[in-house]
This record gives sequence, structure tokens and C-alpha cells, in this order.
Amino acid sequence: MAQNRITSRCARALHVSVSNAAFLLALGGCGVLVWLVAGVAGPVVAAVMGVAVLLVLSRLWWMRQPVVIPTMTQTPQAAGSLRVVAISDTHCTHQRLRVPPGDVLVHAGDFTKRGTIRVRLHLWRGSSMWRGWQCRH
Amino acid sequence: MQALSLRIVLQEIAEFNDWLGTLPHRYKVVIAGNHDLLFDHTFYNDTWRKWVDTKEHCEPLSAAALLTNATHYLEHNEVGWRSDVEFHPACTCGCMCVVCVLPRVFSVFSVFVALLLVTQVVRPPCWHTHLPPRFFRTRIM
Repeated sequence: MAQNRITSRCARALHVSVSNAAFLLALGGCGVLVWLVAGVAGPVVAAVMGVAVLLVLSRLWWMRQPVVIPTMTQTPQAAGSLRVVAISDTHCTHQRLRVPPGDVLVHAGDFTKRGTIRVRLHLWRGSSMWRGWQCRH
Repeated sequence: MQALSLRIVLQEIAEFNDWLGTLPHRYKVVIAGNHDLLFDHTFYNDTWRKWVDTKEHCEPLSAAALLTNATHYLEHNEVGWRSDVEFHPACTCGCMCVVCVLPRVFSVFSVFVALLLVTQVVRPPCWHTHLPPRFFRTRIM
């Protein structure tokens, strides 16, 4: 169980670091793109942009992978015991989860996100900032 | 457009409820968190004008009613479980309104939390909250 926990933490840390690096490199790539459009090109710039694109694609691939909770899937449930599966903070990504079987499932909050791109866009468009610009009909 | 945004949030809850229905667990307990804003009575009673045009669209009770596949929605209450050989009284206590670092959302120290703090000394329950009360076992395991 400890090994699984450590592996999970390492995977999560790697995911966060890769995501942050991809985001920063994507931002840098956009800046370099402007630089390229201005007429300056070079192999280093092309390599950086390529790496940024690869990292963004890798993150998209990662987000589509199923999430397995390994701690309880590898240990059989003892007879007469009560197994409680506790999860939380799925934030609308519950479809990716492979939840281990058990008697009680506890979802301890944050199953919605209120922050998907669709919701954020609609909230932003419905904010009071645009009230004077909305069509009255 | 604001009502449409609320419909999307309700749709998120409905999709989560559908996913709950596919799980094989006998009991399914749901506790709201700080991102599940539709479930916070205090927050929506104070700020519903920023979200929707009419208040009847944002009643938290209607949001909880969408969780039809959850056997228990815990909010300031507790529930016990029975396994094959033993009954576990007050095994799960759910509370989303705990004292947390967020200034606006779920910053209510409820009587239920105070009672839990007392009863945990006498009869330790398995306490499930989304955020722990401030200064009380805030170390993340």
C-alpha cells in the first residue's frame, strides 16, 4: 500500500510538473511565434516550439487516460468486513475514475467544477460587465 | 444567459448522478465541497443575484434532489453502516460547512461541527468532510 501511495504521489507530481512546464512552454511558444512572424527564425526556436507542442499533446493524452485507484484493488476484502471507498475532488472527471469495489462509496465533495470551459464562458458572458451590451430582445 | 449557466451547473450534477448510478456500491454517500456551490445555502442566499435572474432556479435543495442515485446526501448529519457481522454506528459524518481558509465559501462554524468535536472524544466516528475545520487536524495525510 505504501508503495502504491508513493507511486501515486510521484505520478501526480510528474503530472503537475509536466502540466506547468507545458503551459509555460506553450506561452513561450506563442511569443516565439510572434517573433517568427516578424521575420526571425532559427533551429533553437523551432526546437522549443516543437517541445512545447509535444508537451501540450502529452498533457491532452494524460487527461484522457483512466485513473486507477490501486490501493484497494490489489488487496481482497476480508469476509465480514466493511470496505469504505472514499474519493473526493473529482471535478467532473469522474468518468475517468476506475473506482474499486466496496460496500460504501463516500464522495467527500467537489464533484462539480463550475469551471469547465463551457461554464466559465457562460458565466463570463452572463456577468454584469456585459449587461449593457446584451440584446434586449 | 445567466439561467443557461445555471442549467449547465445542474447538468454537471445530473451527469455525476448518472455516474453514481453505474457504480456497484451498496451505499453511496455524497458530501458537497466548496466547488459545489449550488449546495451552499448561505452562499446562494447572499449572492444569488450574481448568478441567476430568479431565485427559484438556484435552490440548494433542488440541487440535492438531483442526486437520486446517492443513498445518502450528508449535510450536518451522520449515518451508520451495517456490514455482514457488525453495525458501525455513526461511521460516516458529513459536513461541508466547516471553518476553512476560504473567506467567502463555507466559512461557517456550525453547531454540528462543535458537536462532532465533542463526540469524537467520547465516541470516535469516521468523520468525512471536504475541508477540515481550521486548527483541527489540518495536517493532510
